[in-house]
Amino acid sequence: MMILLYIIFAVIVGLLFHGIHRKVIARIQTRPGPPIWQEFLHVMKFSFKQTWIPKTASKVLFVAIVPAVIAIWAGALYVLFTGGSLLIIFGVYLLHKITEHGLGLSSGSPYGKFGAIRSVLSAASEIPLIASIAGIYFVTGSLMISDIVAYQAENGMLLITALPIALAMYVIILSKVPYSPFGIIEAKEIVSGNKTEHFGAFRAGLEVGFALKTFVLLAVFVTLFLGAMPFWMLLVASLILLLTMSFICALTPMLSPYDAVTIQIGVIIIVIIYIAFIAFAGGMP
Amino acid sequence: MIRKETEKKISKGQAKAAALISAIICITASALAFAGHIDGWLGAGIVVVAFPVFVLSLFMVLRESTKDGDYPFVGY
Amino acid sequence: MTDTVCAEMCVPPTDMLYGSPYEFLETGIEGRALFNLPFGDIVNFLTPYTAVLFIFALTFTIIALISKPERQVDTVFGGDAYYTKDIPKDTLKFQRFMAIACGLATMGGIMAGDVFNFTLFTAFIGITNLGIVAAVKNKHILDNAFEYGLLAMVGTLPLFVGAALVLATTGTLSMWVLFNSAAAVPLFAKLLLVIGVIAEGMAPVFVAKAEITRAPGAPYILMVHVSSLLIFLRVIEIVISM
Repeated sequence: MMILLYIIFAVIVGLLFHGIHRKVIARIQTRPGPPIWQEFLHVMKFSFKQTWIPKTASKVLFVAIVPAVIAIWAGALYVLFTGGSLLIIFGVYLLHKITEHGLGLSSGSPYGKFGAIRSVLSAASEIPLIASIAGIYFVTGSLMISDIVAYQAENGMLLITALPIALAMYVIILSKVPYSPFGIIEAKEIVSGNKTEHFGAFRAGLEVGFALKTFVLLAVFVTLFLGAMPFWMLLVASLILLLTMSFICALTPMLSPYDAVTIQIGVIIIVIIYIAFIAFAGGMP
Repeated sequence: MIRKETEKKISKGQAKAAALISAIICITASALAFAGHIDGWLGAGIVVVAFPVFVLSLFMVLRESTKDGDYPFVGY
Repeated sequence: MTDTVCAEMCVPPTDMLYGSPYEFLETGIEGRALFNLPFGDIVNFLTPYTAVLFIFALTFTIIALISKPERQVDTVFGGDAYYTKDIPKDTLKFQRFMAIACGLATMGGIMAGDVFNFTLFTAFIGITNLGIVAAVKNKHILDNAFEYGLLAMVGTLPLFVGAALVLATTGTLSMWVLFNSAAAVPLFAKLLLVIGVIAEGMAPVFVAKAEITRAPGAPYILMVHVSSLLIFLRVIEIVISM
C-alpha cells in the first residue's frame, strides 16, 4: 500500500502547503486571506462543476495532459523516496515544461497559447537547474539521491558547503510556486495563462498535480541540501522553506517575462563562476 | 450542441467504471509491491499510470450534469 | 596497422573489460540499467531515466497519432469578431506524418546506445521538426521554417564533429563503454555535441518568435517541443556520463 499512500499523502500535504502559502501571503499584505484548507475546497469546487471539452480544442491532448501532469510528479515522488537518480527528477521538471506547453496549446485559445509560449520562453529557468545539477555532481561525485544523502552525512550539509548551488535550486523552485514573481505563464494579463481553458474536473485534476509538484520540489530541496532527516522533520523543513518563498512572493510583483529570464540568467552566471572556482582552485573533494 | 457531443463521449457510467478499475489496479499493484510479490519499480510504474486515471475519472463522476435545470439556492 | 598501435588506439573487446557482455550498465548518475540489447560492442540499454523519457515520447507520439488538431481561435483585428483556423486535410496529413516520424526519431535517440546513432536521430529530429513547421501555408511561417532549416543544417556540423571527436579520442562510440570506462572525452567534444543538439532541436528558437501563434495544430506543433526537450535531456545525460 505504501506507494499509493505516499502519493495520496503528498497530494494532501501539497494542497495544504498551497493553502498556507496563500494565507501567509495574505497576512503579509494585511489581508485576512482564505482559510488554509482553501485549496481542498478549490479542488472539490472544481470537481463538482460542469465539465466539457471546448469545441476548438484538440480533444485527446486536452484530456490526456491532465493525467500526464499527475503521473510525472507521482513518478518523481517515488524516485525521491527510493533515493533514485536526481537526473530523473531534473527530467521530470523539464517534462513538466512540456505538459505546461501542451496544456496551453491544446485548447485553441489565444490566452492558453500565450501562456504556453511564455512557458517555453522561461526555458532559461532550466539552465540554472542544469548548472546546479552539474554542480552537485561535481561536489558529491554522484547523482543518486541516496549517495548525495550519504555524502552529506559525512561532509555536512550541502546548503553550507555549496551555497551557490542551493541558491540556484531555490530560484528554480521559487519559479514554480504559485504567485511567484517568475510565474509569467499564469500572469493575469493573459487571464490564467495556460490553465485558462481547463475548467471543472480537468482543473481539479491539475490542482492535484500541482500540489504533488510543490511537495516534491520542496522535499527535493530539503533532501539535497539539508540531508537525511526523519519524515516529520522533512515536512517541517519543507514548510519553513515554503514560508521563505511566501515572503518573496508577497513582497515582489510579477516580473515581466524579460526581467524573469534576465534574473534567471544572472543566477546561472553565479553558479558557473562557482563551479569554475571549485574546479580551478582545487576546492573539489 | 457542444455539450451534447462530449456528454455522449464520456458518460458518467464509463467514468465510474474507469474510476473503479483504476482504483483496484492502484491498490492491487501497491499492495503486491509492498508484499514483495512484484518489483518495487514495477508496482510504482503501475500506480503512477493508474493513479492519474483514477483522479480524473473520479472527478468526472463527481461533475455536475450539463443539462440545464433549476439549481437550488444553497446560500452564500 | 600493427598490433602494438592497435593496442594503444583501439578499445579491447567489451567482454575483456567487464566480464560478460550482458553485464548491466551501472553508473552513479542514473543507477542500474533495466534492460540491455547488445549488438557487438554497441549495447542499447534502458536505464530508469531513459525509460521515463521513452514512455513520455511514446505517449505524446500516440497522442499525435489519435488526436484531432486544435482549431485555433483568432480575433479579427479592430472588432469583436473572431474565427477559428481549420487545418486543411492535406496539411493535416503531412503534419501528422511528420509528427509521428518526429516521435519515432525521438524514441530512437533516447534508446540509442551509440553516440553516432544518437547524432543521426538528432539530425532526423531536426528534419522532421522542420517538416512540421513548414507544412503550414503561411508566408511568415514558411519564412521562419527557412531560417530554422539553415540553423538545423549548420547545427549538423558541430553535432557530427562532436561524435567524430569522441571516436577519435577514445576509439569507440559505444555509450556503454564510454560510460563504464574512465576514457576521457575532451570537454570540447561534449560542448560541440550540446551545441549541435541545441541547434537541431529548435523549440526554444521557434517559440521565442511570434510565429508559433500563427501556426495552428496543437499536438503536431507540440511534438517540436517534446522532441527538442527530450533529446536535450538525453544529451545532458550522455555528456555528464561520458
